[in-house]
Amino acid sequence: MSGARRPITARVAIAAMLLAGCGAGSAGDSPDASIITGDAGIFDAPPSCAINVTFSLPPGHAEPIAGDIIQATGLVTNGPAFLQPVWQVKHNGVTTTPPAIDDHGLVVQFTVDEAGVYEVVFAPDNLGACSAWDMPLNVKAAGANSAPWRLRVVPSTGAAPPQEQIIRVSGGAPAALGTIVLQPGSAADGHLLDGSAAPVAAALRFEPDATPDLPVEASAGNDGAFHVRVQNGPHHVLVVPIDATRAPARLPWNALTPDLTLPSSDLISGTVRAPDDSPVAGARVVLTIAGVPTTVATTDASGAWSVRGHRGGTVAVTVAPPAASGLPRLEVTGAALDLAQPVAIHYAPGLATTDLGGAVVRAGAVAAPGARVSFVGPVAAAATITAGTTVTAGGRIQLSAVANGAGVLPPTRVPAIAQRAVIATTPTVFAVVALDPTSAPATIDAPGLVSLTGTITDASGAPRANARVLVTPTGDLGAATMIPAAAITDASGGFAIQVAPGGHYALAATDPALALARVDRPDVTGGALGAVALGPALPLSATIQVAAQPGGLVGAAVSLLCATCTGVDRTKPVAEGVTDIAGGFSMAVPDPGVAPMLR
Amino acid sequence: MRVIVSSVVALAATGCFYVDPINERPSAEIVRDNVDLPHRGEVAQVHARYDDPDGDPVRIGWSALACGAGGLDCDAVPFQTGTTSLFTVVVPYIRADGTTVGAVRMLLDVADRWNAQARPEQQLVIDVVDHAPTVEVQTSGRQIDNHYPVTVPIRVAAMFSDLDSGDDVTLTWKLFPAAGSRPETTTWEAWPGPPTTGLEEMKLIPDVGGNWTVRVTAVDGQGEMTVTDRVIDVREDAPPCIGALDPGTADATIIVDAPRRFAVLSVDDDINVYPAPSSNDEFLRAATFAWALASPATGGALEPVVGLGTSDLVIDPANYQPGDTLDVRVEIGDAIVRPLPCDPASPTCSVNGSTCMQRQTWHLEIR
Repeated sequence: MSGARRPITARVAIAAMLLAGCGAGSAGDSPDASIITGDAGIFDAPPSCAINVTFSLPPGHAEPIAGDIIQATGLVTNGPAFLQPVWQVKHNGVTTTPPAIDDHGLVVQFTVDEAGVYEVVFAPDNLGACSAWDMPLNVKAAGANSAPWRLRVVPSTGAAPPQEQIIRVSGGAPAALGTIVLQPGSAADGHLLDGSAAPVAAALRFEPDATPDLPVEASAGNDGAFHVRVQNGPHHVLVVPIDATRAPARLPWNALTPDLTLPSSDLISGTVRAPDDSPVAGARVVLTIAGVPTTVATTDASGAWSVRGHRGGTVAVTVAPPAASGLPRLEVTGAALDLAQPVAIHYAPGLATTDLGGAVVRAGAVAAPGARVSFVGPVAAAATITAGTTVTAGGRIQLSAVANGAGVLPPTRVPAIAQRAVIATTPTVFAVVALDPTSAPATIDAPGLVSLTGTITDASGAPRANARVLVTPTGDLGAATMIPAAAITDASGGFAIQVAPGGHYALAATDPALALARVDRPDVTGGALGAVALGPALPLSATIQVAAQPGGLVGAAVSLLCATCTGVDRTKPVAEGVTDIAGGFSMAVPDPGVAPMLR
Repeated sequence: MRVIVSSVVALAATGCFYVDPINERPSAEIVRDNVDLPHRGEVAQVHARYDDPDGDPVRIGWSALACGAGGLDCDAVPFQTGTTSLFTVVVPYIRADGTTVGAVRMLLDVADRWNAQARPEQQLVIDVVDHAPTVEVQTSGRQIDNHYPVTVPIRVAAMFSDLDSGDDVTLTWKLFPAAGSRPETTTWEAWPGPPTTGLEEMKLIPDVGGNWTVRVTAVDGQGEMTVTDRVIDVREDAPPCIGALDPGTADATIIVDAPRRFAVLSVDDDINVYPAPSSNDEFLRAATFAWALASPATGGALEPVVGLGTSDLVIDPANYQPGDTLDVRVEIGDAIVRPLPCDPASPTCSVNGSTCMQRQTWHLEIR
């Protein structure tokens, strides 16, 4: 066994712990991973002395698996000459002393019978200036599935910038990440100047190349000066000058050469014309070129606009016409426009509008004074955009009006196509109804709230009382309101939430005892939902430190975030915690489970 | 002396009579070595002071009897005997009939080699002192820096015992509330749960800050009493403090060109913490969040986002016009209503002017 064993150094072993037994390897596999390291034993010891432990695993095992015989070798560098090693292996409250298999007691062997966290202590009794090695060893369940997550740490003080890394959580057993050492990052004082070395005031967004999800915002003042503490490593900075005539830019940056120079920009111009070819005045126009926004323009009486930006790259165009026009908002992305030419934006000639003024908004057949109605819906082929080439722009109706004291809408022009109306008869009571304004309706009726019912259970189907259910508006309703509705399940796991008829919601259910994993249903509507099972969860724990600072980091927020999601889903944590007075935290994370019959 | 008498008798009887010498009794008395009255389980020590007029060696016999109060009604069988001058006994707790020992009767029997016993019979009654019961009062709960916040349950435990076995102890609880407390807003009741030998627990939910005193009086079957006071430092619930934020920047304009989450990631508080603790923790509750939004639709004025009580809010730029500027504000709270003293225009605010903030405002620009 000894010759065929696969040795893993303590550093790799800790990485494996950080990954909770991930199969893919170490934190170094991820571009995010270099930011947080899990090495603790070496970090704690003075430079003159270090204690390290190496584990040897059975052939073919990259990480310890339940049932393995583990061989641990202690190594003391620059420590006392004569050692009397003391080994301990702790698991589930039981401490054992593994037998030495060498003459000096530096090599021991033990069996990890079951999956979970084992604490391995190597403490020569003549430590001198060394610290004992005391670290968790995660043992995977045989056949454990694993899932990637982003573990984000946001200190509540300026001790370190926010940081995150990819971890993999293995199923079937608790995991301990050991000590996570945050890098204190770099504090940078720089200046933002233009090409003539004049200072520029701007909003700055520093995006680490390794973890662009973790930007740090700062401001450059009128003197162009800014101060920021960021992660080590290269960044890109989005610069949005306060002066609306200066073009934003995205610039490469690092803390060693913190000054930024705003490059000269290009003038890009065009027009916006209505379906009848009349100019559209008062429309807001912004382009996003290669991901960088331009300045924002407002069309003049002739429908003309001009923005400053940096030509080159695909273009996204957003046109927000004035509400009175009744025209839809235009959005096109990925267009290959020649921005050296005028950009002609022309609403489709057949796109008619109608005035809903005079329609009575009602709730329960009774006029709803003060009701707010948002008109929403897509408009296919709403316009063409021509600049060297012509692209078709999709549109989105995004208009709203507030009924008067009699529930009557003021003049409200909307596209004369099928759409939906989101009606808020009070700030918290909504309804979503289909609307065909080709002939102006006399009334717009908001049906009463409907119930969204269901039962929250655990994985076995047993009802879960006191679970928290939160439904957040999405889609058309989400565009009109951000107010969620919530309920607590009763003794039989049941819940009932009054929701907007026709509205779509994202449901999230959480276990108050944090013993089960949160469950999400991204699209639910009113009605009977049936059973929604909370997932099994595992305890995940670690201690947070900042490099070269004593003790644990207190009060840091720790979040577990989706690693594969995009958009706003990428920002929603599935588990949250906060570090205690020792820098430790524990949270319940989704258990990816164990594949049956693999061992 | 005896020899002289015998010689005289012999002389007088020279050639005519002989008188056998007369044995005299030894004399004896009991001397206490420790004058303090012993408790049960403690040592009582005496020794015998004796003399034999004839100079005979003596035999010493001790018996110690457990008795009722005053040395009456003693057990028939001694609980200890001895044959040396020094006699040390450990006072028993109970007598043969199971009742508590009230006194110990020491009997001393001294006899010479002619078996002549000292008279009168020597007895000494040593009264036994009752142990006072012991009681220790401890508190537990969500203690912060050696104090407890108001409205949080405090578990007050009295652990009692009496060294005198079989001596029942009765506890009496008395609560001395802090100034300003009202009974109707204070909870003072037995802690629920099955009884435990030697332990009584009470639940205290104080309604005001200050020093609360719990007095526990323990009385045993003999009437011995021990009074223990425990002062509990209760303080008003401190205001919650915003911990980590996302975005963490307080004074920069946030460019929003994609959906962006604005969140209070952590709240530091005595009771109302965030992230919400496990509900298994009976002492903790979740913090509250109130959001306000200023946008062109509100005329640039901050308006409450009615009904939004979560710790975060997502701004989707698609719902606004390019170039719109917004202010997003969150204010955190706990069970106590604390109006913020700051100007509404102030982007941050602390209820007590400290670094513990309850308000955060972000300034956004939509792109």
